[in-house]
Amino acid sequence: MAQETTLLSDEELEKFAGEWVVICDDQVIAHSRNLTKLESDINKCRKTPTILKIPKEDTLIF
Amino acid sequence: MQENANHPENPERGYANILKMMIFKYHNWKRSDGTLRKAPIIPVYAQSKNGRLLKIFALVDSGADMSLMPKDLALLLGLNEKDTETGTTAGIGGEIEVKKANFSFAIKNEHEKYDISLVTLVMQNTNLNVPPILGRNGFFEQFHITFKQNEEKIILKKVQPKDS
Repeated sequence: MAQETTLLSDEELEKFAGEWVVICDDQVIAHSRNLTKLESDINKCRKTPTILKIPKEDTLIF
Repeated sequence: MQENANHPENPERGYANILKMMIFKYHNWKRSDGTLRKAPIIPVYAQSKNGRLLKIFALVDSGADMSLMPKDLALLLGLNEKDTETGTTAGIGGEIEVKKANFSFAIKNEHEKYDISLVTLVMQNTNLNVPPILGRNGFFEQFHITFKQNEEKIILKKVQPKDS
């Protein structure tokens, strides 16, 4: 009943730590520390693109 | 009564109310030491400044007074920051400069969809590694929110006028 929100593998989470990731059709299509640089990649996605900020291990959440 | 008794989440409520609940699984992220970091991160839907629908994951934070948004995400969404409302906000992560902006988005599953509009604080430091955060003001008033840490899920149920 719960919506599944597992999006990335452990390897991908480690690889993209501290970055924004754009997922289109279950595939990572772009990543960057600056989301504004991903705008053209977001517009290329024909489905609803998913935007996810991957936390670093040392991130403190307010 | 019988169907209520079989309801795993809330035995006092009927099946129609089950459908009105939105249940999201926590994200489990592995640290380098192998332990898991569990986080109640939920998908929200918002339009970019170009009118593109985006699915964005945000952390539901009952310890945050206000919602927070990274500057680059606010730019992508075309949020109009209110220049006159610059300030600082503080948490256990320190003090940061923020501007207020109105943020409209939707939360949905296969049965329910709710449009939400709230004031978010846009973090002006683009180097902060903080995800979008849904804090209490403007968000927690609109849902009954249950964190089930052991079951690694978060349950949202829209507050109805008759409940208030």
